[in-house]
Amino acid sequence: MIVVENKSTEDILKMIAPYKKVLIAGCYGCVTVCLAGGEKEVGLLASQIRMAREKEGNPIEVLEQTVERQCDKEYLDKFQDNVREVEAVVSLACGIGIQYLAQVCEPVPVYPGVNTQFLGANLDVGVWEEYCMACGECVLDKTGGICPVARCSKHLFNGPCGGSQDGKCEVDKSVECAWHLIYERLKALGQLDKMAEYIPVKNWHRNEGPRKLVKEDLTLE
Amino acid sequence: MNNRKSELKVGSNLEKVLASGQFACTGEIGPVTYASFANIDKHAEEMRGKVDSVNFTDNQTAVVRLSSWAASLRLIQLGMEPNLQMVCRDRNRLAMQSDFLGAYAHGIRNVLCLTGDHQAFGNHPGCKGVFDIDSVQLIHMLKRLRDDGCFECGAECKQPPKFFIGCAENPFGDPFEFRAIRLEKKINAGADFVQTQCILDMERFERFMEMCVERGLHDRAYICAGIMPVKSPKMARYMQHGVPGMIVSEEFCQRLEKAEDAKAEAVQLSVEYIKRCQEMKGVAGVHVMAVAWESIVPSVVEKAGLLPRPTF
Amino acid sequence: MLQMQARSAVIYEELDVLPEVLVIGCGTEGAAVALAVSENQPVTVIDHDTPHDSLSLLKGKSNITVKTGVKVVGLEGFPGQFIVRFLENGKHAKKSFGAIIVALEAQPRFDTKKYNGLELGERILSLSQFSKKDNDYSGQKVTFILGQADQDSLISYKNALSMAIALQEKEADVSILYDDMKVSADQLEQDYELARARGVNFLKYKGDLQFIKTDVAATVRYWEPFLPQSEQIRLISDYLVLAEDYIPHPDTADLADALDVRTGPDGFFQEDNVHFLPIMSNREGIYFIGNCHGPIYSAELEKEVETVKAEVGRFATGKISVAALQPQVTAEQCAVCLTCYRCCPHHAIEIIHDESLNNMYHSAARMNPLACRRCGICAAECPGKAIQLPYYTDKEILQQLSKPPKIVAYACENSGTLAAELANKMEPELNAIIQIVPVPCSGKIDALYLLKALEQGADGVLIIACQKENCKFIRGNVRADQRKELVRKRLEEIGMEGDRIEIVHVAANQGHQFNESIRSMVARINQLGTYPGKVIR
Repeated sequence: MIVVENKSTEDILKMIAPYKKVLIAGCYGCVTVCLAGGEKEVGLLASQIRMAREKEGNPIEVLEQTVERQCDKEYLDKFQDNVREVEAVVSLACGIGIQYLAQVCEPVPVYPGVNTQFLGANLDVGVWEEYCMACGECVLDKTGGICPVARCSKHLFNGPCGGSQDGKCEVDKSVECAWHLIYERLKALGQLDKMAEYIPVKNWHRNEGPRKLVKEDLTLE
Repeated sequence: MNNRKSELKVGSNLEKVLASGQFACTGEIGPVTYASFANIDKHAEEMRGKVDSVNFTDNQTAVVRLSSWAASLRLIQLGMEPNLQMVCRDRNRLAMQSDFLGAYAHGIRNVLCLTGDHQAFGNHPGCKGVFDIDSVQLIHMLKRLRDDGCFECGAECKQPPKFFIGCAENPFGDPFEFRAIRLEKKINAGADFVQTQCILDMERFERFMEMCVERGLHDRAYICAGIMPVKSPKMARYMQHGVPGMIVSEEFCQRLEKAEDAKAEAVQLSVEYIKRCQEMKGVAGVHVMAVAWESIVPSVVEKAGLLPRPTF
Repeated sequence: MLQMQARSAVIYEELDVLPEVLVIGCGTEGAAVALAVSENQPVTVIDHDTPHDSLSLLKGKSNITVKTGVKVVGLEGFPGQFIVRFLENGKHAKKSFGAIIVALEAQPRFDTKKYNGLELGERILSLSQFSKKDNDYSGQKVTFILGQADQDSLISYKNALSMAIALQEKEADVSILYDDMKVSADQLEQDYELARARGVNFLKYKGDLQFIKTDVAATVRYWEPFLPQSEQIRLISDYLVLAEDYIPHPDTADLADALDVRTGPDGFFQEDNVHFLPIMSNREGIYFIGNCHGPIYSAELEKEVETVKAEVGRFATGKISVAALQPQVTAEQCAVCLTCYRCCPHHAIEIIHDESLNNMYHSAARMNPLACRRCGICAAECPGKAIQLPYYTDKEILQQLSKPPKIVAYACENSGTLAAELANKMEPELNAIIQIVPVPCSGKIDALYLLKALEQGADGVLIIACQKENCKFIRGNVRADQRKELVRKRLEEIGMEGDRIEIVHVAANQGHQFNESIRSMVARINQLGTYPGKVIR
């Protein structure tokens, strides 16, 4: 899932300083699951904004609405009634949703209420870790199911580097060395010979600008 | 000991020493963080005739320093042989190959291929760590240039650079059993010579060399042991605890702590270690890296009985 | 003032449940509970090892099946319909049960360190060793030593007194050397009186003991606390019998893992929580009896067996009627994020899949009515606001804030509201300025409730929670504390004082402390002044 983190309310208040009526737009997708942008968080932010503006003697009306996802236009359309009423929108969806919402809400501006962090696994309540970098060419078959692009600090393909010690990355003791993990995993799978195989240079897949995927056999006429 | 005698691939001074079966000795000068060759000029003179070639680190610890290629070029101008270091952190394959063309045209012949310390350690921690290719892929790329005459993309290079290809290895990294496998991977990719991380725990290094000899790695590449004179016990302890990937034996620290003259003891330790390396099977030479103490190199080399250096 | 809630009629669900009960552990305790429960329901008793005596007690009983060499390795499902996974002599198997009773017995362990390194031998025995011997001790001097080990349970005292009485009746010469004579349980004081009447010598000691053993005698040297002595008194006996410690059964940790129940002090089952009755686990339908939850002795066991029998007896007919008061999930708002599932202390939540569930996954969380303890932690954790607890819905809670006074106090009904009642009787004027909003657990207090109370007109908000490590629902007060921190940060982010939100931990009988907390909060709020962020239209 996409993991996001709330922006500071101070920053958000600065973005909406000129407005008197705004909408906080939440999403029941990834951002709800990572406890940052669902209906609850929308409620908390809305309350904070009202109270802060009340204190400065510049009251603001704050509408709240959450939809299934902000990465599909049909769901974004559900916001339109409220968008018509307001001067600006703060979206708590990931960067994808914020941008798509900004597109359909034009000329009403849409501001980001969160910082999109990474693609990660939800290890436990309140704990997420980056597992994938959407590099476009998965090598998990060669590395026992552990990604060297996302989880190695230097995204080495023939690691580890000399800084791996006690299974930890040189960058910080709390960071596991991905290649150490790969080594242990390949050992457990009986595939340690893969460790000695040379993995050639990577195609970083940015040749056509921002990536696009079109499945011709599925597009509508 | 170095008993190999082999054909020359490149013809650099370092390669000639190693290929003739003699025990090699290289030095290192750390480039400064400002735009001046003054320290290079000074230390180069001190090392002239005392070492076979001199390493120049490449933005060591991710701190901006005078670049390795510029320093190497300076050494060429002074009539000595440099070892150019190239890290994967700062350049993509385009920039690297471009730099190699220029370096070779200037007369540089030895290149060390390294991953590079993570940018988090340095003075520009938020910068983008490039890592377009890793050190093993870099070795492979240089071998292709030299032996196949083509760039990484496969296109022909009319006058390809032909380097004596080096790599680093850390005998103290984890997992220990894997280190020899990794070195083999680099040698398979094309590494001609190896400089190890500085050895401050002889027992562990001996075990590492046993693993390498078992795999016959010493017959395929020249393995040189890193030697670092550590001038204070405090520095030794710091390296024991504060530097990732570094193992320092208790004995090493204690000898410095108990000595009356730590600096003299440091030299003595280095000399002893060099002598042990000369006896050890599979070790073809030593690389003396006296960090922030370059001036001590001539003394160490002399006391270890490595002078005079061979000439051709 | 406490607000009374108008409650609508409760709906009852009738559920199918299995009357079969699983008893884990076939020692005397397991056998006792199996016999009692089997009067009304079929019982399966399992044990990893092959127990000795108790097996014979259970042989031939029509409603009891005994299986040895069996280990529980996993548990699925909910009370009334548990699916237990076993390893039966190395093979995997599954069987369903309505309820599970854990009766793994604590093990005696002799610790030589507690006896100055003394090793057991022919004349020096542990209590458990001695109890197995069948010798004739008439004319022999036997001395029991109590107080060096097992200071917390009364097992040694009970066993020593029983054995002493029996020996004395068989004409042995018995002494009990003790530092404190602990008789604070049923029957023990009578046993003590009887032992004295039979002529057992009770000798009190204080401080270190020294031991000397030879082929012909065993000697203990001790200081008598009341007589003046220049050296230690020597007590020479034929046998010394020493108290041991009791440690959890070796399978305890694995079983706790397999059943996902919690262990507590010293690794025994069940935490040290005042709200937990002796037989209770953190999961409905799973019970602990006997010394698997801490060394106790037999008189307590009888009570526990009776209680458990009544508990599991609710499943005897195969049907049970249960009030549908568990939290309800609105599928449209459920992101199946698993937060409620992970936070639930009682393993009461499952994710179900049904085409009728109106969201993109056709999945939603569901709270099992038998397993759920209605704490409401899930409702407060849900990031999608998909969960509402009947009678404590967001609407019902927030509408109590229509005219909030200076201080709103969200109070847990297991401690806070009870302490508040007491406190109110003691100091009615002080309590008049706070509004108590009752919740079933402080863990039900949503972060939104805290902010909304201020937004809608209060100057300060108190959370009244149970004492630490004594939350009836294990982690409710911990979550409440975390939420207080979270909301404080949010207040500080907008330039307000985080101190306007506070949490106090009280027990139900701490009316005085409650008033102290109110006083302290009032003083703080007076100092901070009126909350400047009130949005009242």
